[in-house]
Amino acid sequence: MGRQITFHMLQEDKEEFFRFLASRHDVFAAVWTSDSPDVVRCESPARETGTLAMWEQHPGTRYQRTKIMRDDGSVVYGFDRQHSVLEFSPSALVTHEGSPALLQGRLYSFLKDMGVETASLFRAGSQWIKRSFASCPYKLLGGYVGPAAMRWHRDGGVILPMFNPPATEAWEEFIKSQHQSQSVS
Amino acid sequence: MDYARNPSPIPGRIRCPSQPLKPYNRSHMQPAPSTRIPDGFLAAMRLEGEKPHQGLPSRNPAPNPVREVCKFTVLLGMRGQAELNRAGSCCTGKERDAESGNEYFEARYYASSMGRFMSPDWSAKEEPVPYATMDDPQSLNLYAYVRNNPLTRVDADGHCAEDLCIGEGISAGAVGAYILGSATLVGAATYFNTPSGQRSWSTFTSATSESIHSQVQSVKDKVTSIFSSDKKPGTRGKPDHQATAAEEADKIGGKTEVRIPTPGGAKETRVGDAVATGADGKPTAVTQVIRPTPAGNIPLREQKAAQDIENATGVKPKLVPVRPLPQQ
Repeated sequence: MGRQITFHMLQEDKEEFFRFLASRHDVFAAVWTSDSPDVVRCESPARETGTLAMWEQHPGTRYQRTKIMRDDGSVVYGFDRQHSVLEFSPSALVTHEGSPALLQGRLYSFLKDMGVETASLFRAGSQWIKRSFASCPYKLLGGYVGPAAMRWHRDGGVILPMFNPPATEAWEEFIKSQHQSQSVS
Repeated sequence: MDYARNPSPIPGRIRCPSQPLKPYNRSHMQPAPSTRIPDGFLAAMRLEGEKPHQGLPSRNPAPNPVREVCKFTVLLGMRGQAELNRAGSCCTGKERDAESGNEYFEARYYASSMGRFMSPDWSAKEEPVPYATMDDPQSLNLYAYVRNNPLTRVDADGHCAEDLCIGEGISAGAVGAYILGSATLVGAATYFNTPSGQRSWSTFTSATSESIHSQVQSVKDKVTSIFSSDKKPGTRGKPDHQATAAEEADKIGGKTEVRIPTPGGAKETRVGDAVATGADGKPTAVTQVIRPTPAGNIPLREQKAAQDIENATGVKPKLVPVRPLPQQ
């Protein structure tokens, strides 16, 4: 399937990430789903909390969202996954069993052969993340943790996978291991 | 060797789980009563070159179904016994569908009882005879396993066979290149530890490094494309599977191909084909795209994956059969 890099980033890390991309590439970012098929450029992508579609802007690139009919009959417009765009799903702050927690985000391309410009953008983003972030200390999650997110985690925040897991014995064991490593460090 | 008590004369012989273990008497080619044979008689049986017509078993494999099973695996030593004794897998290392008794080769089901595939070979791009080569008449038989040559060919995914020699050659080349590359890197590291080396390193700009990286990436992509193409997608998932997963993700407003950690499950992680989460980050829907068995049932591995995902996320995955791609 496609290619992706997963991460945990707080707002500070996210702003650094987009600042870096803007310095190297002409990035066009737009919200992934909308009520309208027309794509509008997002001026400050770091402030968006939803999933973004991103691509390297160059002459001739013009995308439109396609109509998606949901099972409940509602209609929404979203990017076609066959388009050569990247999906940027930011990390999200939530609460897990009363504790502050951070969900994992990802930079993802559905297509394996995503075209030269988008591939270059993906490579730049993923390399920057690998260079600037620390590897996630928990093998179960994988990916990278931004400096601000890592500080936040060391101060007691819980880092989670892309979803907020249920309170099962296995997950509680995992959360406990995080608290233990926090107290050691 | 006591064949009457131990019908498996080769140490480490692998027996498929579905085959019953029966003692046999070679003289009659049928199961023998489980009577004890005197020790002196057994000593005589250990001699090499005994005569089968005298009612003694020989080293020569008899046309007994128990002995015929998995002989290629034993001869080639492809996998260890422990691995093959794993529930659900069989001689080829492929998973056996417990219900039909067929092996799952990803693209097709193989009936070991008949020694052929259950369906003709196919390719994503429409062709009159997929994977046919005119210099090999065996390639025209779309139901055959590895062109009827299992000693030199392997079938990785249920499509056309790969030559073992070619595979080994490529592997050997890759290993050689890796060793050479490592040696070069060690030499380079030693050089850059010296002051002159560090000075030269400082002139090495990021533009150059990006150029090298892009070239390495290009070579990597080319090597990858040898093993993975539209015809032979390997583990990437077939195009119809990908398309169905994307449609399902759009329907539920979720993401495709989300790796889900499944602590305590049969595997550490599973991949959810389409996963949607709510505002609180809790998963609201998970959809798994499945390829039903020829009998129309859900494969066992998909059931296990769904169970693991349910235990990890608390959401029961919806199982959706793969939809064919629209005709172009």
